Amino acid sequence: MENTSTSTAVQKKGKTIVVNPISRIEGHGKITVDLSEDGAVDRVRFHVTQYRGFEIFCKGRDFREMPVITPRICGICPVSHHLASAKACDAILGVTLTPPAAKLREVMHMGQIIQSHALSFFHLSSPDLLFGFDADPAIRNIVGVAKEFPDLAVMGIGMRKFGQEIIKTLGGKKVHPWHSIPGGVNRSLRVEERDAILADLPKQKENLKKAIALIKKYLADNEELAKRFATVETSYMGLVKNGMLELYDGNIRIKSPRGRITDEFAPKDYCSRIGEHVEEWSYLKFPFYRALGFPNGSYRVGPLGRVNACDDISTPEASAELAEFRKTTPDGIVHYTLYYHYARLIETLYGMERLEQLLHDEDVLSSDLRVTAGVTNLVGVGVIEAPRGTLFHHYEVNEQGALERVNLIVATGNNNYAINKGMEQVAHDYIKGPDVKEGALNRMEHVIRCYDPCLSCSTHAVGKMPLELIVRDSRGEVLKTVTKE
Amino acid sequence: MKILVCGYGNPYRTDDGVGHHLAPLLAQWLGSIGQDAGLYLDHQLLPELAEDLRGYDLAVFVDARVPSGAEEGFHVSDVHPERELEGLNMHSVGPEWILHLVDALGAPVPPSVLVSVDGESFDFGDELTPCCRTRMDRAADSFRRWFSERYL
Repeated sequence: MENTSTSTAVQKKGKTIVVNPISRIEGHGKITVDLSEDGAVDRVRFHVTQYRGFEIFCKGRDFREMPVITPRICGICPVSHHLASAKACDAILGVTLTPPAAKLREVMHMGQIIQSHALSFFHLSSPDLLFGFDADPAIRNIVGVAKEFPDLAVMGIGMRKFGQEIIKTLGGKKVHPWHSIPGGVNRSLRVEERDAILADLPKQKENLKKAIALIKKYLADNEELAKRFATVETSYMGLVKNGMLELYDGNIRIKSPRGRITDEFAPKDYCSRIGEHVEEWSYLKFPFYRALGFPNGSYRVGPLGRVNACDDISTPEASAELAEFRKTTPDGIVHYTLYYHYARLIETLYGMERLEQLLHDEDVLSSDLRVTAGVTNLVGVGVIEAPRGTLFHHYEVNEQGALERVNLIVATGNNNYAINKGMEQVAHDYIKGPDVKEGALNRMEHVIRCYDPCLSCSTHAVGKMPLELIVRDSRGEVLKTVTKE
Repeated sequence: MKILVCGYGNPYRTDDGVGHHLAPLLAQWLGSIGQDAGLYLDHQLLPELAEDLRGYDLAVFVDARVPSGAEEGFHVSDVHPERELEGLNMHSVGPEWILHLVDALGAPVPPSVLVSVDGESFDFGDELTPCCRTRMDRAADSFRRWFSERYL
């Protein structure tokens, strides 16, 4: 599903490149490449140019409405916003969920992880891996995959559907479901619904293992590329529970590039640990770990961030796969950006195993679903691991429950610095002067796809956003603009 | 005859949700005349639909469209696989692209028809405008005639 028109036009002899729009990511942005006088790449910036302002227009609303409002930020990961928002509301109510409610939220969350990771790997990234970055864009898309690798395409479609059906079962619909409410959830699973999910699970797991074998072979066959492509050494962040990978709840852990645990703290304390740097050329902020400042405190989140941050994974098959993954480097910390895909599939395996555990727990059939309370705390923070990384919802309310302040740190923002640095490295490798080949553009887009960002989410922008690549010379004059609609 | 009726659009944007109103009506009518009719309702068409279409003898897509200026205010037309119509955008794949994906997956592409109804308003709201409702009723009649002439 490559975007249709790619227009390139050298505007003037000299030195700046802009990619616009970037395709096969959720939402679009702009890349600017500044060249030095000798035509070499001097600086690369990934701009996100849209703004929606959920943090502003939600002020004054009752906090209880937020689990329904905030999922509208995104059509791909509405469940993540729904759950993070509900958790922030729980904190304002000062309640602890009943075990059935917590488990049912996690069931929906696993459905979200599975469907979103399947979309990222099979629909958006596999065309580049299977056909190569320089392949004809006309075939380098999911339809091309369906033609040449129909079994893989069917696997991907089926896996995404499997995750979406879980969301729909609990939340009434695949996109923008409604299940979590402040203090709990509004329904449990029926026996036949649980059994239907369990019946399909073995097939999905079997298919996933084939995909894991595929990415491992790709990384082995393309070892040099895999180790160089957009690689950047950063810290890593993710939720952990007793040191184990955690996607729904737990403490936030930050690990250094060398694998040392730098910090571990409760989500409610994020403000004292995480700052947000702003650049005038992008609406997407640059979060960083305050103690190290910006940019040294920049970190990565999402699948690679999480598998690097945790000690281990609590489910056996994902744990074994993580052990394999860590053999990639002597210290077990993997900085290679292409390994995001491998980490993503390991997490999907965890999601399936965790789902199986939850569904075998009779609590998911229980009717003990909600705890009621009034406003107990004037501040509530809800943190969850969205498929793309750590997602923060922070609300401040008055005694009546009207929102006075809203702060959202969305997963994509956490990776902003690394995306920029990775793109700069790829530009250095593949761009010399204003004559930018399509394969070079696609490699820059693939940097973004590795992170599976949702630009709509992170800037709260509306609908589809085109992305352009602009090449500028050393005087800032535009030499070339490449636009994909 | 096994038929899947697919209504899509945003039911919270007034007439954009006409597919959610019209598709159930068509599915119900098809069922009442002895056809094996299934119903798919969603905000948008998704690649997964390509797998769902396996084994169907006919696909009926039902959507809103921006005012076309056509006197009838609706259109019933055959659709065929087309890969170039859509670019990368998970937000807006059309029926032609879905059919192309069906073909790429090696499955037989079912004969397909698109029922488009002109919207009057796409503002916030979960009810159709009277004008769109009238067009929807006419479109339903037109589809019934089209189906009867072709398949009965």
